[in-house]
Amino acid sequence: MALVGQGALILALLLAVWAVAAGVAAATGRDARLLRSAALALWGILALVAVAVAIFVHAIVTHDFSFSVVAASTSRSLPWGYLITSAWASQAGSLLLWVSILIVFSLLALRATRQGLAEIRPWLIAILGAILAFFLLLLVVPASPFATQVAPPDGNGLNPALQNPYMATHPPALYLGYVGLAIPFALAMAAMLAGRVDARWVVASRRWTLAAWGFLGVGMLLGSHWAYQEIGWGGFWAWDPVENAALMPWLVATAFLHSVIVQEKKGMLKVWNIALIAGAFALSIFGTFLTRSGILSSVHAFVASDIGWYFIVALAIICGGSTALILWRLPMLRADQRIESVASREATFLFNNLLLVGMAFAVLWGVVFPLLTEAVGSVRETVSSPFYEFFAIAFGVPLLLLMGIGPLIAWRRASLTQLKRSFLWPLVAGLAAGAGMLALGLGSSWAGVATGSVCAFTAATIISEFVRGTRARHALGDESWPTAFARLVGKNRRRYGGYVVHLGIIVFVIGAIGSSAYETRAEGLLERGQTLAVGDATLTFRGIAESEGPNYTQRAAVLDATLGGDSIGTLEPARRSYPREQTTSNEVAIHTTLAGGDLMVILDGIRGDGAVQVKAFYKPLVALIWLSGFIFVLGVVLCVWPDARERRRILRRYAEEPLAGEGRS
Amino acid sequence: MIAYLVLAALAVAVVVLVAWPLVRPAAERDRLDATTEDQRRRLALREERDLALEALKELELDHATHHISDEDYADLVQRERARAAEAIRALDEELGTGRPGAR
Repeated sequence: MALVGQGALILALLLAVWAVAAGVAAATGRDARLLRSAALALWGILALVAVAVAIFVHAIVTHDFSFSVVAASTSRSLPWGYLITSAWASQAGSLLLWVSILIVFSLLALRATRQGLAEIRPWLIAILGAILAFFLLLLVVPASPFATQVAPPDGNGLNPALQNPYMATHPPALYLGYVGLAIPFALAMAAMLAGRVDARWVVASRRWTLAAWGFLGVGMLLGSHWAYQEIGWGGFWAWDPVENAALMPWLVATAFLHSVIVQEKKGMLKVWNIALIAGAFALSIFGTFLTRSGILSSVHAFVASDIGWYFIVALAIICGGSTALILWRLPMLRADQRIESVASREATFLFNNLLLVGMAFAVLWGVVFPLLTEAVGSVRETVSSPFYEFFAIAFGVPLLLLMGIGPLIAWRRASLTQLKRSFLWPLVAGLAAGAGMLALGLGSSWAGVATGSVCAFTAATIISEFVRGTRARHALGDESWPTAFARLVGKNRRRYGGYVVHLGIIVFVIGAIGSSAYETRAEGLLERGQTLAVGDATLTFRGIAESEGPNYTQRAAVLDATLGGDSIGTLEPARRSYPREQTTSNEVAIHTTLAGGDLMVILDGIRGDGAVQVKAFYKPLVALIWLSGFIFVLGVVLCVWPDARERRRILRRYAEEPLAGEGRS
Repeated sequence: MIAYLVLAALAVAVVVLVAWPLVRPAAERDRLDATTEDQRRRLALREERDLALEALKELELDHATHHISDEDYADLVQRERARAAEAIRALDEELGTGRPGAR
């Protein structure tokens, strides 16, 4: 079976190379037969990758340890659900997931270019084929899921940190985001190669970018919750390079989603938008490189790794190729209009872009700097959380402010009188929130008070946008208030969906600030009957509880907990021992209060005499971080949902001007 | 042995798949047309017209929600109308002077 799997991947690689060659030949030779052949090659890749995936998953679920990857990342005692998720736990498995998602997305993207973009299809197939060929090459040569060995009686098992339900959602969500960014990149490059730099590629790529961006955002949040529950260090975001790998393309894609509005409305920032989409995709490849090349453990591990140089070459081609294409098409990418005033919506979008890209660069520098110091000298200089937190505040607070300012300023220019009128109540809300926080005794963190004020200001502007819009519709006709609200959002989904996303970000920031700036913590060695106090909570150690799971043994510290003097039951932080994997894991105990705060307890160790070392945190408002994810998803869905009016407008435009290749399959 | 047979079958299948469009005799419809400069120019004008019409709708919403003053609204509406009218005029001119059937 391994031979068939490997053969299917080799055939898929050959088809991807054919798709590139036939796509380029179809574009340059204007040959529709070659175009059809290239498109069929993509369908062939889909079938062959499906065969490879089926063989790989079959090997996992039947414990076929003659597959090296299966033996290295599973065992007979691994619960069934984790057997399935182990498919993307290994390097080869995760790359197979990359390719599987990419081929499905490629075919969907090809379908979406039938109206108004047929001319770019040969180039689109060629670029997507090239990306597919790169990942298939990795799967065929340095990271094959079908490498075989003499089957051992049992496998090594799965890293306990990965034996978590989030393994079913976090990596696939991140990969949908990373891979999704390949589509707008391919659309942009194909549009430039075909000389079709009008607005059509922007409309086609916007929804793909939004979806990929949404998946990346959700993936990061799921990863944060996973780390919060599983890793046991007491936080949700550690500025770990793996986390940063997803954050960088997300930030650049965020910039694109804003600046693309300026291009669509005003015909400006065309070069900038192509640069952003190329940057977002390059960073998604860089993120995959970071997590898959071994470079994070050491530069020397990277040099010795099989896979690292492939990524370096791919990154050089992506960056060099897209720069060359932009320079080639520069005369076609001139802006139609200029920014008239700094007090205009387009100017706030531009400032927002500079801050987002600046933040992405700061994070990139934080990730790259340790690698450079190790490569140049012999010691790796680390960049710790304060570096990132400085930039997160320096760029993040102005960004939050712009989120509030942007919606209230009109396109082109805004008058002083209008600005005063628009900003009065949001400013009052911001100042009142700051004063309220001080009155409640929250002045211990000035960063917390300042951020809270800015959040209140921005939330007030967003709410006022909904109120003003609904009131305007209600005043115009006979619509009831709920109907006016629903139609306001329904007819301007992109705008109001964006506001909902902004509300989600504000809720996230309040949760992040509340749980970090106002956190209380305590730790101590407890003997039976002893108590540890943390904030308003107390924990009294009652003893050790031992239990067994399907592939582990667990020892938990039983702690009676009170909050504000009232009993909230028992908390049982635990340590699990996995004999097959020969390792242990931390199981954090968390009690969430109605006010959204968490009492979190981590068992650091159990002494021979039965005393336990525990660490406890009280984190106010932390539940808002997870709640923000639902608001974010709601906003993204509102934005991504197809817009019938926009579709009609595009159909009309291209019905008036039928272009080359329209109507071909 | 079975694995090799399966692989050979897969290889034949994919070769047939991608070769199928190429082995048929070539026909006139197999030539991909190129978008002409005239078409590109008209498309750009149609985009310009649609942008201006969309901007007018947006201005209406911004005015109704008091984001812009009455004076700015009047000025900007006039400019966007002029922009749309100019695009439509240029488009009419293009179509009037273009080759027969260019539309």
